[in-house]
Order: sequence, then structure tokens, then C-alpha cells
Amino acid sequence: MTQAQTQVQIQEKDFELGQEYQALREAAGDVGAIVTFSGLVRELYAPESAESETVAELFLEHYPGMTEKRLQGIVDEACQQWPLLAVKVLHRVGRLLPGEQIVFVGVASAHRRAALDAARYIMDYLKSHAPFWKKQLSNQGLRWIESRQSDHAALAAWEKSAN
Amino acid sequence: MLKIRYFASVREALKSEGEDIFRPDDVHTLADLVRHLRGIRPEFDALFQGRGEFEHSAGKAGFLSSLSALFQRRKQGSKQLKFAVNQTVVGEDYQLGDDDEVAFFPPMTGG
Repeated sequence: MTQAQTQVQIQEKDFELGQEYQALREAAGDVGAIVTFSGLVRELYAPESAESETVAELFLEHYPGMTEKRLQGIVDEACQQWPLLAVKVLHRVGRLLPGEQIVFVGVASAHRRAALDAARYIMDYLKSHAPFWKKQLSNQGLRWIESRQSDHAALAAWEKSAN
Repeated sequence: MLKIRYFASVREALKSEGEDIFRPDDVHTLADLVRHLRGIRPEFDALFQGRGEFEHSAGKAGFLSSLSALFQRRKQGSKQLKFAVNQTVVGEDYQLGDDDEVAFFPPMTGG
């Protein structure tokens, strides 16, 4: 099996979906399926156990060095589980406003199922296994966002399916 | 030198991005380092308090039971401190080297 082309990138500036898609398409070679996921900052923040808030700004902090290392680790784990041709993970940091793109995951494979599953796997692990922290300014004030039980449940489902 | 780094809410609580310290003779594991930092920094100690099970911080036995409770809660995926050594998340029994990079941070919230 040939090695997948992988790339992990942290940046403040925005990304262009079309460019990322084309880059994946070129890197993948004889590709049959490309899945792209874009995460965006929502204006409505609805925590699991509190009232909804209207978000004004989001601040993304990370741990330079560990972030890249951990994201690459998640990508490598995905490459071991599915026959992938190319993977790109791009995560923005710094100040973000509602409506802005925050994360991109692109996965190329010969077949759709591998690309779809791997994209979901990478996103699920990225949520709580990569050192990013979100601080939010909303109509309720400025505070750090806590991890969600639903995100931990998503990981537990992957771990269960691996056994 | 141990290179200690604090992130997010931990950095704000301690008003510090980190510090370099020589590994004290009685600090061998990550749990030892936590105990040492709690002893010298009241703000660090406070991170473990106010959460019921961490209220009793006096003495080593008290600390270890607190830490054990902390790790119990970690398993439930709620709001405790996480530890990384040399940029990898590790457990409290991790044996520290003299020049390790140790980071303290809250649960991660990417995506």
C-alpha cells in the first residue's frame, strides 16, 4: 500500500475551500472519493446544561508544537485504519467571528466509505484530543468553553467499535 | 531544567505562561511535581480546591487521595486538569526527566 499524502496546518488566516479541494485532488492521484468537512463559528452557542448565548467573538488558543504533533498522530491513526490517499487538516487560531470558518478536514480515498468514515474519525478526535482551547465573548460575558459530553460520547463509540 | 507551561484557564488562573525550575530532589513523578507546585504556589493549589474532593490538601496522603479523585473525574470527561510531558498527554505516575517540558491545561475544545 502506498503512503498517504498528509498535511497538518495551523494558521490565523482563513482558508479557501476550493483551493484545499484542488490540492487534495492533485495529491491523491487515482482518487475515487474526496470528503471535505468545514467547521464554522456559530452565533448561537447552546451548551448542554445552560441557556443559549449569542456569540460575539471566539478566541482560539493552542499549544504550538504539541498541536501539530497530536493532529499528525490522529491523521496517522486514520491512515492505519482506512486505505487513504491524501489527508489535510487545517485549524485556525486567534480571534474568530460568528460565520467564519474555523477548521477544515479533507480526506481522499479510492472509495467513499473510507473517506467518509476517516473524515468523521479525524473530526471526532480533533474535538477533544488536540490541544485547542476556546474562549468566548457572548451576551453572557467572557469565558472558557467546556468540553461537551456528546464529544466524549462520540469518542467512546469509536473506541467501542475498535474492540 | 523542567520547562513548565500553562495554557488557557490554567494560564489565566496562575497569571503565568510558565516557568523553568530545577527538578527538586523529592520530585520524581508528575504527581510529585503537582504536590511541589501546590506547596510553592497558592494559585496552583487553588486549582485543585473548591471542587469538594480536593478541599483537604494537607499532607501527602490527603494529596494522593485528592489526585486519585481527580483521575476518577478525568475518566468521566468533565472539567479537570490535564497533563502533558514533552507534548504527550500522560498519567500521574509518569517519571520525569531533568529536562522535560511539562504542561498543565484544561480539557481540550477544538473543532
